Amino acid sequence: MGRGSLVLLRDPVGPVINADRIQGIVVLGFGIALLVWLVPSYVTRVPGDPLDPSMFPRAAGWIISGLGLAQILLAQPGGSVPDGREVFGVICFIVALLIAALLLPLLGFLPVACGLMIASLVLLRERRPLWAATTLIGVPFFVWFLFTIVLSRSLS
Amino acid sequence: MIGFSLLLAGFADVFTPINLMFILGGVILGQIVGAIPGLSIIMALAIAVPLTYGMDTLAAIAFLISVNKGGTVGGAVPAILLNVPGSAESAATTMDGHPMAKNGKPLKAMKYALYHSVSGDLASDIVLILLAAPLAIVALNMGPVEITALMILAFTVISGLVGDSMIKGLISAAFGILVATVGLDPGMATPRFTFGILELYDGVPLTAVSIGALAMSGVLVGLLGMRASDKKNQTSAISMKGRTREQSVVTFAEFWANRFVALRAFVIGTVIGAIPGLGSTTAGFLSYSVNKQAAKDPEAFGKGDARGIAASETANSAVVGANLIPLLTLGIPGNIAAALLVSAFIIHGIQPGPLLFQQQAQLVYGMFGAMLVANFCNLGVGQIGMRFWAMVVSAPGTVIYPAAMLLCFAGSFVITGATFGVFVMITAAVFGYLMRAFGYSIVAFIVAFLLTPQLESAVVRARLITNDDPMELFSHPIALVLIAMSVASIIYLGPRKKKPLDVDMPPPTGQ
Repeated sequence: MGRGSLVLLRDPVGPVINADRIQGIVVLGFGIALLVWLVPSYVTRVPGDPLDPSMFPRAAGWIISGLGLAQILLAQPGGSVPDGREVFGVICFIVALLIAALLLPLLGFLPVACGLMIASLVLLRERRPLWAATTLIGVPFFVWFLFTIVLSRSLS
Repeated sequence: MIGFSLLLAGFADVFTPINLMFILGGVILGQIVGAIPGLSIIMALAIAVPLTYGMDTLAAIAFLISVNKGGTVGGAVPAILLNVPGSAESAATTMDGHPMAKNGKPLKAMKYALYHSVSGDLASDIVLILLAAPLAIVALNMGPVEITALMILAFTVISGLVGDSMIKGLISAAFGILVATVGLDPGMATPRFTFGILELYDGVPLTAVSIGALAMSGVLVGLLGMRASDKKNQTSAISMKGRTREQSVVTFAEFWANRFVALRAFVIGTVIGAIPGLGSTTAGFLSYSVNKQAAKDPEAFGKGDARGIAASETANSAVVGANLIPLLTLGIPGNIAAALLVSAFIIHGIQPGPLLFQQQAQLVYGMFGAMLVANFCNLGVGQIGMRFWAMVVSAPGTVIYPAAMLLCFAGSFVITGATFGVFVMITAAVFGYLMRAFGYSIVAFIVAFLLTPQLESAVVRARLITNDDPMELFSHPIALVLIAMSVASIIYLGPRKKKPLDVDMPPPTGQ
């Protein structure tokens, strides 16, 4: 298998409460929340009108609820849950991206991009000078050059 | 009937310096990305879509198609040299490609892959060109009731065929429908799920969602894999130095000797490509299995037999052209690559579907011309570049994945010209990662997200036509048949634990 596969996965808790069933409960819960709160609060309803704006959101809510229930009742054995280390890694990368997005209007693309690359190198524990320099300097300048010079698209 | 002059004009549009340059650039980019294990062509396409914003429509479509075609060729390089497919569709190529390389013929193996890939792709493009216009005429006779039923069938088939669980596939599709309803509703222009955010009045930007769910979530998985592993590099690729002519060259006689294998593979790939939900990976493995079983000496497969490479590469490339048949005739993308092409069409204000042949015939034939030209560019670039791509396969992940992450970041910013696009991309990336982690189909989500506006429009018109009377369905027999097929697909594909097209795979050989 190539690099990048999800390798840090745990087995489910047991045959009755397993990963599939837990997911079904979450999906069912979301479907119910959609029908009783989100759609009534955030979508206009015009009952009986073919142009009713709430038709598709309600349909999606019913389908999601029904399928969540089906997933609970027909839960497959086995299933997987991401490992704690993996979740922590995802959170770190997402936080780095969010910070970069918030700082982009203030600092501009190149400083933010270099900062994001530093965060990547730290999280990936890359210590080889040549590759670290390529990632830290070469990659941001390549992306900047591609978008702003070649494609004439602004990045700030 | 399409005028011959329009057809010629469309083909002639391709032969401008700009369009040829984008075709060549797309092929080169596709082959490079395809050659890098861990990066998929889907990622490349998702990132490439915002790059086409400022381009002419034909140039944009030609570029994206060329990236897709280049990727199917490039994916064979690491499959052969590293026993690691550069893209999923090249997985079957490892079975005979890598053994042939280990037998001292790596360049020969790559040339077999190149020639059969290009020939399969070219043949399926010709099928597309011959069939698309007549099928579009048939599709034009479908009304909103039939279109609604057809889309329901497409959802159930795609949900059932991709991933391991139909329930999860349908859940993914339902979430795609839900996200697509964000924004102003098409009937009364009232805001839906905008939460007071002005940017959401135009809906969730499709390209940002595609980049996040498809590309960025894959990059996250790759980064986590690098983080967890002490190995920062790939295993060294098999060297191509010091080979004799016999070990490096594929003669015409050797290529022609596999013609029956290639023909079988072409038919399999084209049929599978025309069915929404099935993709190149299925075609490659099925073709390999069928050709192995049809051979007089099946025991030769898996030991570096050229027929194995021909079977896999011809089939997985034949899917590329055929995938556009449901897209151009019905407006339904057959796979993610086609779905991303749809997003490019929409960006340029064009709605794919049967009306495309009436409203934009010259563009369609220009696209066909670009596809044919891209095949020849693929051949030329592959011949010259495969020694260089062999170096690319060993590029470290600690450079590749952060670069892909930054391209996603920049691409999603460019979409809206503001950080809103980036935040949408990040949200979609988290969602996409969770879908990958828990086995939900991103393909079903994206296709549903893409088709929902069209489906909603068809449902509204169908309700107006039938006056909300279910008995009116009986006066639409085609719609009834399509709904029956949807039910049948749920029954047949729903309870399965394995995909319906299982093929025997040899035990993993490892690196």
